[in-house]
Amino acid sequence: MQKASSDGLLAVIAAGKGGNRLVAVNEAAERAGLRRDMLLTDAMAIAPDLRTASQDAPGEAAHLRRMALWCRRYTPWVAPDGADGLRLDITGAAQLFGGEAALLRDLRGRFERAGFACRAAIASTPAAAWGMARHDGAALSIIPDGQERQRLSPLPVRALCIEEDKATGLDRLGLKTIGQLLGVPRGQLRARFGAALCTRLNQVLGIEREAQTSLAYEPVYGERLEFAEPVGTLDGVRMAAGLLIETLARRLAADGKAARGFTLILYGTQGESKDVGLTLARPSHQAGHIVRLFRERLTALEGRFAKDIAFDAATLIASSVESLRPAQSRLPGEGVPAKDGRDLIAFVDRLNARLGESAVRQFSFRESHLPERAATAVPILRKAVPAPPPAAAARPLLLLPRAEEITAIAELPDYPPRAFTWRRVHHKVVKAEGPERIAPEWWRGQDQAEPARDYYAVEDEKGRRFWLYREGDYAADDHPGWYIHGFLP
Amino acid sequence: MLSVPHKHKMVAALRQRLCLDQPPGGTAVSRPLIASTPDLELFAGGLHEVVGDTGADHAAALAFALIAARQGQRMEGALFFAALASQSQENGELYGHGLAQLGLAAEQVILLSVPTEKALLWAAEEAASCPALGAAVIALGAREKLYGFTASRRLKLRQEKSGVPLFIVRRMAGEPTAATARWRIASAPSQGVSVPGASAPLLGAPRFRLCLERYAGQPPQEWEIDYDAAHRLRVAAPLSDRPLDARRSRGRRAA
Repeated sequence: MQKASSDGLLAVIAAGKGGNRLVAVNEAAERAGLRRDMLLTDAMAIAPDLRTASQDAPGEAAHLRRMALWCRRYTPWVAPDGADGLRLDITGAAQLFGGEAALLRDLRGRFERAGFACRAAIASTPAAAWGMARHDGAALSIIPDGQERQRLSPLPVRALCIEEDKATGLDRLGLKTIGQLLGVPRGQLRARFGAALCTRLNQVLGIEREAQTSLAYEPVYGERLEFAEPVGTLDGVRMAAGLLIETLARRLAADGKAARGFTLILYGTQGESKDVGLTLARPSHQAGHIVRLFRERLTALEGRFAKDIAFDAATLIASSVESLRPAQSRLPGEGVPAKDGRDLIAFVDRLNARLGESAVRQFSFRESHLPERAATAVPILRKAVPAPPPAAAARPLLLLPRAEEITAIAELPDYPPRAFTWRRVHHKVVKAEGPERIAPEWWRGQDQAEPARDYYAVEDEKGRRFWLYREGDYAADDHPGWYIHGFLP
Repeated sequence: MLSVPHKHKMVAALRQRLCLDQPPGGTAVSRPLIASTPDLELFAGGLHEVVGDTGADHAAALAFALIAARQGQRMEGALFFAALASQSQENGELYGHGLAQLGLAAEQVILLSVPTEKALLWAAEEAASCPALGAAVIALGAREKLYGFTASRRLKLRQEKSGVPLFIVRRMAGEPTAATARWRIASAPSQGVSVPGASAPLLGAPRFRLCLERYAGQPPQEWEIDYDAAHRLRVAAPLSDRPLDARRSRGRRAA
């Protein structure tokens, strides 16, 4: 595919052997006699008024990937092919578009509207389609089942996608077309050119299978919707999402299943696609609930929709589909009666939809000496480790994510501080408890070993309580550091 | 122009409506407060605001809000706690191991950390509408741009329908809002336990100076309360009446 342009002579250049070479040329330049892989100096000699642009390989690759994602509107099995092609597995998808020919026309039409010239081919093997698309004269071609030999024979040997030197080797021996190649006994081919060439021939004819990669996976529960006219407003997208959700939810319910993840893919008219994903706390097939969650999610993403984007199709895919069964891990407070339990899940789902999946959290505990590691908060959809029995010593109600340095005066060797200054405020210590020694976690490696901490719970003259610690000893170090780590009620 | 008898009828009907007007759900407005302890039944419903006396009393305010929430928590419902992500280093974050001292179970707590005040108030409204929650505590930031009378009224309306007690911890007391009650709290020196040989007395039960500033048009009431090991709020010192101003009383008699 090249972006078609009709202003003068234009070529894309990139560094190559011997200097800058032409990577792509437009029609006018081609007519003037310029070809790919020509040296720039030669090209300028032929056409002095040639305009050039540097190749942006990463940008092109990214754009190709976006187009591949957009092609998911036809089938989920898409992958970029080389630097300028796309490979789609449309098995079973053709009838949704009114037949293979109609699908090709639709595809080509959309690409041309987006400003790309494209050649496409449909065949029963990917290798055959590749060969037809790149080396056949016609821009659109379809090879009916069983006619591979016939249609591929006139194509040059390069259409087999083999290495350049092998192709020139075959050429020199007089084997210029695939038809001629197929006439040679396989044993001789293998002996002279290696097994790879035979494998390739088999793949083209469908005798051997070729490994396929894909950017997306095949969903079992998915619904498509094509819009009569491109939709550019958030309300329109909401309505489309609502229609898709109702259909999909009905299908899930009819099969006795529910899903935890839903992805809405919107396809733009210019070859872009947008994914809107949702994860639920519990599998669901309630259309009303899912519609409300998508509404929240779309509202949260409103700012990220570009102003002049319009969509003309959408698909909704359900993931993590499971048969309905009782939940295993419990959300906090889920022990309430059934109706309220549903309310709680709906509440958590709404928060997650609007604020992201890791905004709502619950406490989880770890076996660790270090207070900052002993208790954390994990997203509520993940399993949480329950609390251990409470420690005998005082624990703060609030913990600072980063302990802050303070200056403190304390009596040797390990008496609680008499006074300390924190954030420029001086506190006189009136009551204190401690030290509680927390040893370093020696099992985490030598270089990570920190000095031991002595924790003190102190109360100042106003009755406010703080959780302080001293890092290291006065014995070992003249100036051990003092820190504040938390607050007690 | 309405005729006079018609106007009388309208006024009478209005009067009747106003007299019969009672707040739905929530606690009865007319019950008098017991003077010696704060009425703990208050916490079972309503929209409460908790403010620290000074900026340094924010930890006490948060602790009190959690104590009150636990007091008012309904059945087995979860306790919902929401705070601004940007305040986490300034004020600290709730620590899992520290909940036990307030009688809270870590498995009962749902945490939320949001980036903006707008998201926080939205989450508060959602929490106020979810009857499955036991109680909700919302910690606002240092600068309140969106919370005010209107926002509090919306929260109160939702809270009344669902019955979930709501506690808003504020950094500063602003103009009056639609809250059921406003509490002001400060840390106070606790009753320490002297241990011979220790350089300083041990910490006693946490003590607070608590003031119920606004409630149903009643005058403010103050207590010094302890939070004891049995997770109860108890009055530490009896409320002392402020002596009448001597000059004023003299002036009255003279007049």
